[in-house]
Amino acid sequence: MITIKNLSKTYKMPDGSQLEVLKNIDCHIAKGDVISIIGPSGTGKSTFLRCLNGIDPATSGEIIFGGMNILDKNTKLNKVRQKMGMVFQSFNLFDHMTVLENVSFGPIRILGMNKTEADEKSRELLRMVGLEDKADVMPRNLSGGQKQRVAIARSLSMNPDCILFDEPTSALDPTMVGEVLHVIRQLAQQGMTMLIVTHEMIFARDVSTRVLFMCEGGIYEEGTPEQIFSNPQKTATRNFIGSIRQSR
Amino acid sequence: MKRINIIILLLLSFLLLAGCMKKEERFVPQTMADLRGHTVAVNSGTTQEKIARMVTEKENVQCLPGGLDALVALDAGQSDVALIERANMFSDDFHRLALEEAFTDSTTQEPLATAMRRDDVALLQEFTNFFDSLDVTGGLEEIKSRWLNPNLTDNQKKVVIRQKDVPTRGKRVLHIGSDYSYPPYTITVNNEKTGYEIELWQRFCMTHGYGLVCDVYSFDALLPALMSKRIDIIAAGMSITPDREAKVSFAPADDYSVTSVLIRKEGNKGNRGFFESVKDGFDRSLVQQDRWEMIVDGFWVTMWIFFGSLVLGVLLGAILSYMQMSRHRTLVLMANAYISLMRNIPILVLLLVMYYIILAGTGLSAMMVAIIASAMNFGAYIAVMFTTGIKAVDNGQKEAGLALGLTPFQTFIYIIAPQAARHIIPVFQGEAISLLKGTSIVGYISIVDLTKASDLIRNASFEAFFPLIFTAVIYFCLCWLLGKSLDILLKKISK
Repeated sequence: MITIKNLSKTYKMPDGSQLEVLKNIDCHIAKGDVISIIGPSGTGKSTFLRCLNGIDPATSGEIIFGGMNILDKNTKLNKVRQKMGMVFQSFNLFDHMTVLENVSFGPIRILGMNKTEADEKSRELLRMVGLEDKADVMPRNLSGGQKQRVAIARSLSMNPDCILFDEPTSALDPTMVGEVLHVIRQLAQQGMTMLIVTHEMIFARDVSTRVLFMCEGGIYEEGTPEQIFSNPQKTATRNFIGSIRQSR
Repeated sequence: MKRINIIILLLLSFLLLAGCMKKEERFVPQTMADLRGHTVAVNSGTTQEKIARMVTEKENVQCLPGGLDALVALDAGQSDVALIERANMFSDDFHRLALEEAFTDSTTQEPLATAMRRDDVALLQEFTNFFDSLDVTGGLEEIKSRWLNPNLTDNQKKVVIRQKDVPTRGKRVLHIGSDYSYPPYTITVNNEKTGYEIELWQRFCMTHGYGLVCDVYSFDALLPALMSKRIDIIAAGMSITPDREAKVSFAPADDYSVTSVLIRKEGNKGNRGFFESVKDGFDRSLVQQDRWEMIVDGFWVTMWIFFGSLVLGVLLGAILSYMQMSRHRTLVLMANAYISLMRNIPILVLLLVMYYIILAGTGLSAMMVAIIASAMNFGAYIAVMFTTGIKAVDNGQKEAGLALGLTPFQTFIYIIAPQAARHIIPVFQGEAISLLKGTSIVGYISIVDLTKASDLIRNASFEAFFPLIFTAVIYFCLCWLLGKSLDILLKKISK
């Protein structure tokens, strides 16, 4: 579904030097894959995810999604993003709209659905994430976990082919992590293609079909959850998995 | 709501108090020498100003900019005496004031005439010929018998040529500048611009097939307007002095300035108090001669300028704000330079610079110049408002919009703008009100707006209180309404 070839990204620093955050990443994501991306902070996990839908433009390489190269200047990024949802760490619900409007906005404005139909569909999605009763509430009156569930419903409203999750539980109280992961698990069971940057290792192990361990701007090691968590081959991976175990 | 009532009550009681308090015994001078040590009100730029500066101390000279404001100041108790042109008294409006002449000073006489640019030799020649022939045929005698006759005080009987009788187009269109507030030479009667000197030029234009357009300037602004070719003729009872003759050429003298020293009549305590002023002032400043029509016209002019500069200013502000947030360094610098330029120049100076210098030769009407200058200033403030408002919206909102599949433009319209509006509107409210109040300076460039209309009425009726209070009330209501409607808008978008 997504083929990534030789993807690199460099930032220009204020002093003129180049900072390479992503180095020659090659990766293929098949339909139905649930991929967890783990690794130490500052290794480019989020940047990698944000390059996939072009919110952060990559410097070179190719990202082929639905037959289109996202890095091609002629590609209409908004069309690509309609099929590739994204859920943010800080939720980013539209503050000036009710919960229902947040979810129905995409279908109405972008897909051109009529309001009644869009509202009905949105309520269904809210029911799925357990928030049907919050439809007419403003986002500021929701808890973090509730906001993130609305954000997931919003991204589902566009019927995407895949969804990118950028640390979806990192900004949440520990008590709210579970409700959000539960929804993501549900999506995994329904066969949604997903890429999840996460620090929730148990969740990553349970839900993923494949785990990418990123280190120093590249995919350092990848494999099934079993391979990465129980039998990592490379030193850095072993150290990272080890450090997590120790901290438990 | 309650708070507003209390404020209005406080204001009223303050005015009443001010009306009741009054002091001072009557001062009756016999000669010019008696004036030393007393406050003397004069009209700025007149022969009387010069005389006052000779007979009394510098700090005792009250120099008032508008036509006959010296009379109003004397009547309001602001000065002990007023020096005016003797002919200024030949009107009913003057006789309604409780003022009288202490004595006439015939020692200083100065000729008065209309003025033209020095390089406009042809016009001077044509007018001189016309004036001489008028003298020969006796026409001049007839005109003088109406305007310069101490016994004919009904201004309405003096007018024989109406403004609409004089074409505004012709072989050449002459712009005549005046304050229309210096009877009998130039005056506003029945909302018409007329007077002795105006009539001379009206007749001249009708004879020669020229068009005549009457522009309103304060007396101080007439010479600059003439020099910058905004007007062709000054007709404001201007006395011929060597200084002036160095810059402009004068038509043959049509009268001589004789100075009258005025004092308040016995019993005129200088201030007639609040209620009396309202009753009498309402009649004189609004009802008589349908003067309220000037307020209505002025109101619409103010509205035009306000809405014109509001729309233009918002457009300009949007462009500037776009430049400020652009990735191109030059655009950012240009926008910032423009904004700091506009923020650090007083709006009045900007208006005058645009009118007399930058847009002087473009043929744009004064109204357009006023709208452009206001918009230029307002746009700078709007830009800052827009930029801060937009930057105050969290970047995550933009990312979420883009990630959902909106184009950058749609993201701005549907996601950023509505949220930025909540930050912008409260500030915008204040700036829009400032803009509306700020339009009151356009009188400087010959526009008769609400403020200038009240000036003209004050000068024609010698009534300061009512036109000013009435105008203040209109501005207050307008600004209050504007503020309220933006409040409602704000409530609507921030549920």
